[in-house]
Amino acid sequence: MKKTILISIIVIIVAALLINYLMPSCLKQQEQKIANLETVIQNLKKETMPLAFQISGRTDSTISFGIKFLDENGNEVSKYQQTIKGRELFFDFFNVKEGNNYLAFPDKVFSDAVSPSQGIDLKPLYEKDGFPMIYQSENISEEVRKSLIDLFATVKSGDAGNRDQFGNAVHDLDGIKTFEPGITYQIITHTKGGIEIIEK
Amino acid sequence: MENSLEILHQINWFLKPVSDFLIFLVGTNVGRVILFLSFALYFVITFVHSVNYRKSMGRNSSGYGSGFLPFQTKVYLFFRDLFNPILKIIIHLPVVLGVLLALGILVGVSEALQGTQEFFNNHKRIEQLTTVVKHLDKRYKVASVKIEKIDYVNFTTRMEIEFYGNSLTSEAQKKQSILIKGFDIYFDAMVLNFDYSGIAEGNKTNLVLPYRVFSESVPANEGIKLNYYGNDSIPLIYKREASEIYGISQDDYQKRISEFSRLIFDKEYARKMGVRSFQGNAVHKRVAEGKIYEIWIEQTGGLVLKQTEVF
Repeated sequence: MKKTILISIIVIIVAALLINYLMPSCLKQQEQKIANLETVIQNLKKETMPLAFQISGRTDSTISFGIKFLDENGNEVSKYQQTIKGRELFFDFFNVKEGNNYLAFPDKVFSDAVSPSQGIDLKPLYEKDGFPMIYQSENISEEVRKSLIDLFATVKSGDAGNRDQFGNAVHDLDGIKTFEPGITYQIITHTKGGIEIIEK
Repeated sequence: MENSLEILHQINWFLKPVSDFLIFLVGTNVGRVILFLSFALYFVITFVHSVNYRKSMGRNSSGYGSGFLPFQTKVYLFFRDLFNPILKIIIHLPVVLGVLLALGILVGVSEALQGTQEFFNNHKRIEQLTTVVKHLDKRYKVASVKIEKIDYVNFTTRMEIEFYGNSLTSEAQKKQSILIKGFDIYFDAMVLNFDYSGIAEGNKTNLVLPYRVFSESVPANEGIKLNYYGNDSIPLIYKREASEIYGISQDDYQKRISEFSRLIFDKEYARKMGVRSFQGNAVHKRVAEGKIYEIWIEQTGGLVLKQTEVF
């Protein structure tokens, strides 16, 4: 009996010693993995809001709208008002993959009655000295700024070279769900390339 | 694992406070100050007691009479009471070492139990986060588009679109051939995106209904309607497994249609069901002959277009 108790105590001590010796590195690895997973989730959920708009009026055949371009901190970059023929309003973006994420650049506005080639080019409206101001933020480094200028130059040419790229337009649906006058809508872009319109 | 964690928790509930107190006493400055002060207090009490005892002894004896203690006696008592405990420790060293060892084992076992508990908790957290990443990172194939012919004379593109109802089977459910003017082809769909919370839990799947194709020179209202329905008139999106689509029963067609309609048209219901957005979404690209493009719906929201490699 005494022998069993002694052996049990020795086993407990050895186990405790082993656990205390090995556990810190295991826990550190686990914490690193948790931090990495949280970063991945944060990145997957990351949203940017480069554009907000409002419908100022509608007729049977026209839509009047106002657009505000916003930088990464939500500050207004520029404003634009226009009327377009049609019943559905399309906001077209140019998506380019940079690293693991897609960057979305507002490209043009058109409608169900106006073909994309006849649409309104949005790029000059948020460009300043070649820089897309929708990506302006307080902490932006000169290196990132320069690479965004280069990337935006390729976007303006309509071809971002070997990078993964596609266009992505979001719009309302005539007879199902149309943008209502007076409501502010925001367009959010996701790192995986998807784009959504949400009511503010 | 829940049971193991509970057992560890129960074992450690009385070890941990004792262990924490010992670690506090030895491992922190405040603890060490408390230890030192306790020893100092013990010494002061012992010393005062010794002095008083000697004085009272003196008062009761005939030799000294007054109870007065000379300075050298006080110095003697001071050092005696100071070193007495140390000598006692040295004399009882095996017992003291045994007690210290027992306390050390107690702290060690408690730390090991805490470490094991933390390990299991982290393991559980990693599993949860991995599931969230898996659900958020998921995407469903909606259609694949093969560009068969680009006619630069007539400025047209001919393509075959294959619709997918279930990403798990990777087999096209239906095909449609389209000839359209233009080269930058827009694949338009209705998209219903759910909140991240529902997506992360894995019980909601964003919905998509492709409905037309147009191009850079063909306006959307003159686009070609897509036949995105199965032979039984059920939109192919509903042909996914019941577990993959929130709120839509496998068998009841009417219920499926009314559910989707309700999610689109009933604002309150949509909010209650966790619909984040509903919109038209057209992905597009200047296409090249012979290439295959795939349209996917992302669980993080919206449509994307991918070009596949052809070997």
